[in-house]
Amino acid sequence: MQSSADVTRLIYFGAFFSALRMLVGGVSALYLISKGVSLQEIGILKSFQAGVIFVFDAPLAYIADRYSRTMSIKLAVLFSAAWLLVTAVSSDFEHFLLAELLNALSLALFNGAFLSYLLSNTGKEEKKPILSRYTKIQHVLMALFALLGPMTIETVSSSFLWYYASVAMFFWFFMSFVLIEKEKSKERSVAEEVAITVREDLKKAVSAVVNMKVLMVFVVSFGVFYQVLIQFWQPVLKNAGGISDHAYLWGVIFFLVLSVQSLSGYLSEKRTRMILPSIWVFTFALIAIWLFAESKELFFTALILIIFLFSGFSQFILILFFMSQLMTGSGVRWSLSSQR
Amino acid sequence: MESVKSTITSLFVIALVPVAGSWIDEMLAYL
Repeated sequence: MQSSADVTRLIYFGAFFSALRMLVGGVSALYLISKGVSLQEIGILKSFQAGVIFVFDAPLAYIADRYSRTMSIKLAVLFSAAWLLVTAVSSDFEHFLLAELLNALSLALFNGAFLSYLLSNTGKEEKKPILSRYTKIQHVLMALFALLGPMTIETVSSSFLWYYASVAMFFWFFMSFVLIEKEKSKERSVAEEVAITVREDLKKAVSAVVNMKVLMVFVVSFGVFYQVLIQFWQPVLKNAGGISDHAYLWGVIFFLVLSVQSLSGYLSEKRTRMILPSIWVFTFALIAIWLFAESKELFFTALILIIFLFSGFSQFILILFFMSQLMTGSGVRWSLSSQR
Repeated sequence: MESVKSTITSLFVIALVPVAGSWIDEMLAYL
């Protein structure tokens, strides 16, 4: 086990990695559109990303477990830097597709290694608080960087932001050699479990769809809707809400989106007694803005925030779902992949 | 169960997000 200073260093390493990725988050879809990418092509990019992660998630976690988690983490940072750079220099769909491949591989590499690495560096009794501390720091930094990124450019079509996000990520890659140490001891390998889990999940997935379990269908529909929302909220807000191309506005909106999501997720998971009053307070506040908004911009921004607010509370429904499954004894199996 | 949910969601996202893109495009064109 490492000292708490080492664990803190690891937590900040992971949190800053996620935060640097958020520098471009508030304007990413609008930037691609400004380069001539259509909304359908943005959908194809997202679909491609999800496909690459789906295929490579388990094999990459296996390789990380078997060989080196530290190498996977360093490669993840390098691939993110390359994703940002390729996006900055590209102007056609094929190159953006290449960038998305790098992005997806980066996410799959990081997801397959970082949390396992972090947890293998903490004592058994410390795992839960460490994860919660990591999530909290990560969310705060992500929201801050989401706000800061677009503040540094004039319009959403500027590639400058992507260049310097890439430079910052390359810097973080070099820092990884200083901040991430070679794993001293590894917990039992879970790679085979992951591979088996994927096969079992596919079987269960088919049977769940066939049996049309109502809550499962609801949860999955919401998951798909949420992914669509994440991908297209910017063009919807720009075209329907008429928000201008001034980049800082998008930074502020994305900051609000991430804050609302973090807060609602936090309340759902940690403060179950506060969830109902919180839903009422947040919803009424936002609906009030929505109803009395004098500008179209404010109206649509409030609408998007209300939808993202409920996306956080959907986690609460998921927890209830798991609890009901556990109580009926239908055999919930917590696999490593579900913890990542 | 969480991982089963993620598996199904991923499959639907892969299949549906490009379609959603063109729907949203058409919807925005009407607005």
